[in-house]
Amino acid sequence: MPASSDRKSTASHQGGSLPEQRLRADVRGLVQLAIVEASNRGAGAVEAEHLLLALLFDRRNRAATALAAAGLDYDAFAAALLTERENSLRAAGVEPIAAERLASAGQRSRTTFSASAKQALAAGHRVSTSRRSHTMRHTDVAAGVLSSQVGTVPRALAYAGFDRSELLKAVVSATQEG
Amino acid sequence: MDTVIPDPLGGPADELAAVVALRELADRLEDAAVERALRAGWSWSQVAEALGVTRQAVHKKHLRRLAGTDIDLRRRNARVVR
Repeated sequence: MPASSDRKSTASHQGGSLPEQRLRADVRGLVQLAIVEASNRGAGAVEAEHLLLALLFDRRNRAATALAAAGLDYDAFAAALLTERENSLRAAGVEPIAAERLASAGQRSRTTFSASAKQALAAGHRVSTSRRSHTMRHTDVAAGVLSSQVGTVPRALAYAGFDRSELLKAVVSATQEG
Repeated sequence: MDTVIPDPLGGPADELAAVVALRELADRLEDAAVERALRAGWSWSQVAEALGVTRQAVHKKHLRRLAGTDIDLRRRNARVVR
């Protein structure tokens, strides 16, 4: 994984309380990748931004292709997330702390999914059912993540100068391409 | 009824995001600080006392996470004699 880490995922992941029945094989792989992203970043839970990072890391999928065409790739989004966190801390009068001071060994043995990740997957599921599909695709998950109006993902995109609604349109039209 | 679409940046969005960022920072600082203290020879009880929580609470939160590392966690119940 490109994220700096000696915290590679080897732990067993139970999927938390995710609605497993919604996840088809390829999206399950995506969720596993999101768990690794969360772990690599020292996050206590999988958030919506980790789902988007996972989508962008696997560049072959249709969602990543559509987003890359709009200028959003893994590195751009990772940098945007960093900017968002730094700016949010400064909003509270706190200067960011050097990454090496926050490094820690080991990893949590249980993976939990935050409300933002669950909400993104639920929204993705609604997108897939709206096109009468039983299978949730990468583009559906991307649309689910990008449909949030507030929170870390829209903030990071806004700071980096991306128009979230344009990105959403791009993945929705990629969904409709088949 | 018109629904207001809030701006993700500025005003209340910044204040709420600051809370999220501070929580995340506090969690990561705690993980790193507990690990450093244990490596420096602190007992679980001392770490708990310094954090102002019970030893059980520190155990529950960090023992499994650190069990696979090279930190010797077996004698952490014993008082450290200096």
